[in-house]
Amino acid sequence: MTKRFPAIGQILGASILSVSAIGGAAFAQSELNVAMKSQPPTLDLHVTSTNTVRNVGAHINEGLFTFDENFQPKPMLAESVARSDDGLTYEITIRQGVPFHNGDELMAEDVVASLDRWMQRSSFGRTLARYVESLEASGDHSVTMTLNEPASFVVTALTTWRAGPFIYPAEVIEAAGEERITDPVGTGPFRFVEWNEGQDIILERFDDYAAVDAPASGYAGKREAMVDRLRFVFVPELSVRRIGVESGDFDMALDVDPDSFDQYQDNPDVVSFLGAPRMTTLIPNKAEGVMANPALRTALQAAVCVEDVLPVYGGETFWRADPSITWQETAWWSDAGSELYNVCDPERAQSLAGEAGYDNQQIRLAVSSDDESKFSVAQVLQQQLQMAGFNVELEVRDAAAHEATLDSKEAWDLAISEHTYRTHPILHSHLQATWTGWWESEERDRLVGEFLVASEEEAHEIWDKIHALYFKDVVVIKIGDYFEHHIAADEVEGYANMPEPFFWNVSLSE
Amino acid sequence: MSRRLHRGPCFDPDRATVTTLEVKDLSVRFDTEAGPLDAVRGVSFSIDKGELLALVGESGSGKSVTALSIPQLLPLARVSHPGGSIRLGGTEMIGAPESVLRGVRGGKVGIIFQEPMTSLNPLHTIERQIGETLRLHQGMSGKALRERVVELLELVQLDNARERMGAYPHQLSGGQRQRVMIAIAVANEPELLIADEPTTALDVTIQAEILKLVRDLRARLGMAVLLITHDLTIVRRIADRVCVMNQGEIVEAGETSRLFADPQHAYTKHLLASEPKERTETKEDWSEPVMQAEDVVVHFPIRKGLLRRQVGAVKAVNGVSLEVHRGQTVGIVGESGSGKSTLGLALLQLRQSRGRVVFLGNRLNDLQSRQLHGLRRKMQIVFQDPYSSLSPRMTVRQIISEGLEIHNIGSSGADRRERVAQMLREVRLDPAMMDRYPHEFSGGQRQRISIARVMALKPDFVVLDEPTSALDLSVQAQIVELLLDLQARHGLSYLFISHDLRVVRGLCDHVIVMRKGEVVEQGPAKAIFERSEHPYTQALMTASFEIVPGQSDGVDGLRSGSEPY
Amino acid sequence: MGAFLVRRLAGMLVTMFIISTLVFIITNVVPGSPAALILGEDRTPDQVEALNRELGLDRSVPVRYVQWLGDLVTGDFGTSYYNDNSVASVIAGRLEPTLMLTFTSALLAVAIGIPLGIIAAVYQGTRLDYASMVVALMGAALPNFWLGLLLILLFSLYWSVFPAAGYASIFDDPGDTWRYLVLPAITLGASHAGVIARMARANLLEVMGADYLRTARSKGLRERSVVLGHALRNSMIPTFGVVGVALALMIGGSIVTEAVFAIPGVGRLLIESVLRRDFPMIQGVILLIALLVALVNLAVDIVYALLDPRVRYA
Repeated sequence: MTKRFPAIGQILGASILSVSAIGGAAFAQSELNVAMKSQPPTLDLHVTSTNTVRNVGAHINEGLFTFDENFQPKPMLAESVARSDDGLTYEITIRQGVPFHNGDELMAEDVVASLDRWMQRSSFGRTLARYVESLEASGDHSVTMTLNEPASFVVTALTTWRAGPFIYPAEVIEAAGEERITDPVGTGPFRFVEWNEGQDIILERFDDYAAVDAPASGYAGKREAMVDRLRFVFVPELSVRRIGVESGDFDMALDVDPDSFDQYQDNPDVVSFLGAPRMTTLIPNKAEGVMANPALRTALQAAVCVEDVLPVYGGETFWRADPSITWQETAWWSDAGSELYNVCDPERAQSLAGEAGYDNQQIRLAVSSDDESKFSVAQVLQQQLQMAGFNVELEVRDAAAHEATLDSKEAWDLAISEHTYRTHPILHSHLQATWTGWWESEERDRLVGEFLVASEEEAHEIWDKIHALYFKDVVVIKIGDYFEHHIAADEVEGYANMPEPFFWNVSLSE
Repeated sequence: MSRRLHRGPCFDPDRATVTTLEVKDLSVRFDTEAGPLDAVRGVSFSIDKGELLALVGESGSGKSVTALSIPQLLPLARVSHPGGSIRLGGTEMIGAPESVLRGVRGGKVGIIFQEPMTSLNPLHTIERQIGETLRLHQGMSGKALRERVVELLELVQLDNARERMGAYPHQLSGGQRQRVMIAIAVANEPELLIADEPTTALDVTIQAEILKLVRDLRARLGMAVLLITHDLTIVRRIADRVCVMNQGEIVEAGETSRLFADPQHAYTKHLLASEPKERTETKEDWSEPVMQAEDVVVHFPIRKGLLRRQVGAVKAVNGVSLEVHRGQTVGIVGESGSGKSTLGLALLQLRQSRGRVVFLGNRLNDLQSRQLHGLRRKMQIVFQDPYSSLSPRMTVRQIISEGLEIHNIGSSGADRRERVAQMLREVRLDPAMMDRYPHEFSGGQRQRISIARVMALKPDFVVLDEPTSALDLSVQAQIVELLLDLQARHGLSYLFISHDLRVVRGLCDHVIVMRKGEVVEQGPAKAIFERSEHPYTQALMTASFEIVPGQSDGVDGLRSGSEPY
Repeated sequence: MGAFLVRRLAGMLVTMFIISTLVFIITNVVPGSPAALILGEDRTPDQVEALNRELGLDRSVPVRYVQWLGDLVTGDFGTSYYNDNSVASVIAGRLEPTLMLTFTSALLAVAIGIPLGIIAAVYQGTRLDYASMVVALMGAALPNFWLGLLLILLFSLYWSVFPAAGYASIFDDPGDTWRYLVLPAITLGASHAGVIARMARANLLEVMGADYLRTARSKGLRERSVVLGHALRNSMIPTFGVVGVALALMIGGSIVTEAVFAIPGVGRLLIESVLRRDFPMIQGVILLIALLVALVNLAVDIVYALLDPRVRYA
């Protein structure tokens, strides 16, 4: 069986029905076991965009807003939000009677403390922070945010995603100080019980959970813990994660290989899910070295044939060629500049390289060895580029050394990157000059400035311009999209296959 | 089984006394990878109650195989008896069921083996090892068992028997261990005691004691004794009758005195002729010193405690002086632990020492290693064990020419090859065999190779460290002859280290007697052998040359302080 | 014996010091940044810098070394870069599964290997001997990884006898611990069982030719008593050395097995920490492994002395 994330609409309807049908039934200490590849470094959701942290933490902590199935922000801990006419003041009302796991009620001061910290610590928070003049509690259950200039993306920015503005009690924030939060207390449907180092993290149903009174949709609406315990088990070995689901030791396994997909199509006991799309890019170093020459970047771009690269991600179900830097499933999708995508013309690339003054200088292609797919992508690309006359040398390192290499301007020319999409263009780190590859561009700065204050309609037009600029400047060379693959045992019901997995509203049939 | 009466040379059915063991027409066949091998062919002999029969022969003659056949101790899987009979007190051993044989082993037949160092279980106490056989055959236990063990240990004259019961084998000396072996063998008062080379591995004075013990126990317990040995001196002193074995057959048998006085068979004659002889011509004046040593001291530090502080020293060599002249052979005699081998190594600067060592006018202690290297060629050593002292992965030619290369002797490969061939001829080996490996040679041949290796370097001074101890008697005689011949031809000087006074007597001009690192007595060989002054030397002489049944006072004289532990 | 122990323990301290210094140097010269991995793909240079400051990575290597050593002397192993926990407490939490796994595997390896070796030696040259040695060879030759997956497939997936992965602490869930340990212990123990079987066979065969066994036979002992009463203990002394080595190897070598069976032990912790460049954790784990190996060696020496009256330490 397969469930594909774009089709959630239809599936969700059915799942929700089955969920509500058994919703009231009492389970004898039911436990949902989710096998994941590695354990998170922390449960502090503000400090890192690592997905393991979000996958666990999003069950404990919630934010003011969250996305529905169509990726529209919907209130979660917020009751409502009011924007002043000049667009400079946001008045956010918080729901009353929402308890934290420690029994205290959620108050405006908790929200202020959490958002303050998030705007200091999170890379996304700091994007927002540049526009924020002040943030204060304007009542027990209301918060006022004042901007220094109008910005259209405030609510999207406050909508929880990775490294998003999750809300912690003020005293937890205070206790953490400059350190990471070690006491994960939130308002979520599950509360933290224990973390067995290296083995598992156990959450259990929060009985006093105050759910939103709206039908479930995506991450939004009513959340309910349908199992007594939610256990995240760390299983580094891929085949063991798979066998564990097949044998019933685990109910779900995240990140399994695409090659196993076909096998599960005929297996009634295991359901395959295509997870979040992720994008693969080739990043040129625009600050130093041979690739700092824009003309050479353009030449290189012309040599890439994505159809030869993408099959490293498995069967056709698992990848798609797509020019967009933003997600196909969201309203921000764009194909502006796509005439430069997947050109696949080695001769042209060669002549362009000649014009750019390329004289067979060595081009260092950095890749990390811990992901087989990245390494395969690098190998295919190296071959393609060599055919087009580029002297590309592979430099393989383990993840830690690779990432450290990327932080140094002198150490690399090209790098393979696999990264997650953002729900809003402005949250993409590519847009920042500080990000890997160092894209300095006045035009980008100007367009982003306009984008942030533009009306929704204008914003889409401006985004198209920025998108075209990506291709023109060859900020990244987009290769394509590929999907994560998760599997669940047949007993798992109500799993809404959203790009970032969650397990409220999920039950086990017996 | 055939009841045909077989009249072998050792078998006399008309004897009046009670026959304990009767071996008739015994054959032993080994299944080897190369096919069946008949190690013993048609051997017959008998032993009466209280009689001591010696089975004499060189290694490979089949004497031990014959002995082990009696209690059927040869590995059954590979051994068969194509014919013959072994009757012990009327019971046939060949083909007897295991239960009967187990009653015989340790019960009716006690056995002493050659190697006292390895024949006892290192992990069990003496008490347990003796007690085991008592428990097994007499069902003894508790206090009675304990008392019997003490009694046995006293019987074999182990000092402090009661305190030593809890000791482990490694805490005992070789002689003491052999006493324990004897205690095990006689624990159940066997009818037959088989002693397989019981003294070969022991020092000469200990040898005498052990033999005396065996002889006394025979009388006391009325046992028949089968003594397996290659040592004619022992046979002459202790055996009632002798059977001489050669290549799996008994070639001659008879009363000891008759056999020694009038050997009939050629092999017996050859064996007797191989006994070390006294050196006939001796020179008295020596004028050209090659090696001079004064007050040589070698101490091994004893370290103890947390910081491994030196708390004392084993004085392996404690102030020894000697002179070796050109063409002279100086013998160093002593029992194990006397420091004689250490002294040899110290003279060659192969072991750190103090004192003055002068070789060909050079004071060796003062030389730099570079200068020493030049002199090393001229002073060489031959070791005891011809099996382990040659590298198994090198051909004879490589072994001999290695030294030539180190010392840059001979220019080309062909030149060196010729030298190797010449050396092999000199030690009377066929030069055609130079490309073979050591394992293809016999012990005696290997010792010749060792000698050739040393002689190839044209040394002036050679230390011979027990070069004949591991060899059979007749081979020993050949090697001694070779050494004398080489000395005469090349004017060599020898330092001959040995525990065997008989060989020393046949080879040496001058003798130094060592004990516990010190010189007890030294002088011209003739003087030492004919009128030694020191009681220790006299005791050694007695043990080596005069183990006579009945003359127990000579043996008893050795008892005080002769064991190193 | 007392002086011997003190000296050995002092020697261990020196070894530990050398190892810690080496590990510190190696971890700090290997390229790679813990901060980049912690912060993830959206990190900015100032975040990296801030985290490096928080971790103390802005100071020079010698300064960090002195600091680390100073803390170590007071019993402070430092704090994990990756998850901010105390190294000592993380390792303490990870120690039980590894120790349990190692000891179970060692027991299993001994329980299988030694009888197998004895059977092979006693029936030398027969089919039983060949069969035992083929089994031993297979045990020694099969890669841990492969054997682990095979066992999971058979015992977890097809027959559902044992859980596929994970671990239940003996303190929380003593009744369940063994169920989680069976498959990993077989996986880790198999190769050592094979080696031990071959050593047990070789040692016993060597002892079977010893003179004192001839003595024992000459006393009229049954062959069974000769083997069990005399040969076995003697042959066990060198075999025991192999067991000690196997135990030491298992402590450091349980990494693959722990990864396959998702056992939260120190082996896996080490791999994870190396990949994350979690320097304090790497140093802590290696020190611990070195300490355990040294203790095993010491224990082996002590047991030698107990087994063999010839061995005396002063």
